[in-house]
Amino acid sequence: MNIDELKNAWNDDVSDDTPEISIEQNNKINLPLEKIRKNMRMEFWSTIGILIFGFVVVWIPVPEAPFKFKFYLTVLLFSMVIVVSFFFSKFFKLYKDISSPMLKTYDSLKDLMYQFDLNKQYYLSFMLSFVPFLVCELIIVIEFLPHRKPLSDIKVATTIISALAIGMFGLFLLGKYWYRIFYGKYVQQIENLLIELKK
Amino acid sequence: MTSVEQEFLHKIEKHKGIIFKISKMYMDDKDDCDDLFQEITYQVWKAYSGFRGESEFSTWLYRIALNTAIVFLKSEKKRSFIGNEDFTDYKIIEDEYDHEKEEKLSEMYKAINQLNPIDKAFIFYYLEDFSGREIAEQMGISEGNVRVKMNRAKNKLKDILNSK
Repeated sequence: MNIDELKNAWNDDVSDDTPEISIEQNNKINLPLEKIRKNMRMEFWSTIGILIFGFVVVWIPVPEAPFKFKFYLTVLLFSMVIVVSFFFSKFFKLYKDISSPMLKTYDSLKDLMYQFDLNKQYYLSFMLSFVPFLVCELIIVIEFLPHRKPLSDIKVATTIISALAIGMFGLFLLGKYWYRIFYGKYVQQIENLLIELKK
Repeated sequence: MTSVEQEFLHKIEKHKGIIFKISKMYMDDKDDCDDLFQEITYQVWKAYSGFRGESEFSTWLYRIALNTAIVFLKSEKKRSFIGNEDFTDYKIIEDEYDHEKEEKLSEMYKAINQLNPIDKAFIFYYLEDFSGREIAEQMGISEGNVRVKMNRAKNKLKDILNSK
């Protein structure tokens, strides 16, 4: 078959046996954005689950635990809930607003890529937003947990600064790794299409 | 059903054949093909309120259909070497069955399926007789770039067809 015969074959393909038309969205998820949205929902509920677990652990009745200790941790966890809700509301809004198949193909792919990049930045900010919480929790634990001998100022400062440095670095790397594992292949797919179109 | 829905269904009915052909160009498995067909229909419906009639409905629809097909992901089901349903389910009943035509169609789709998603879009516009200027407008690239990419896509397709 040569390329002209191909055109004839194309014009001859007049099958009436097409699937039924439906304007309802089916439940299958085959677009990268839908996949990401599904992952996001899963992450959101896992995070909420972890935070609820945190509240339960803090309020397990332990007579030695002072009220202030529990209260500070509760306030911290509550603040984390607000931060998590803020970021996830941004993520969900982002996915609701994007996907513009009406644009020209190149612009549509660029738009998708831009939204992925924006999401990546949000994602890393989301991970880094946990650093102050970790440090605060560490301070509360250091202050309230009984020690055999009091900690020196140097030791307290070293512990907190190390936690800050390791926490920031660790969460940044975790964010990048997590993003690559869960979303990277979709981003790569769009990136490859853009390269192909630009080549 | 609202009047907008009716109007839309009336319009899309006329073009369902071409949507199905695009689905077959992009998916080599019957289930994936059906899914892509439904996804395109849904995306066109979602975008329908934004259709201003500045271009032909078909031109507008092709753009959405191809943009959807290009980023469409195949289902992640485990594929068996012998178990995949192909397009035989769509074949017409034996009395009316034109073997030669079906073979040619099968050969055509098999060859197109081997191209990458961008080349498939160029081949689609070629098969639908779009001019260089129209393709450039649809794809958002220059006419010169369209010429280069069209030649490249056609050559790849020729190589695939000749290798059979």
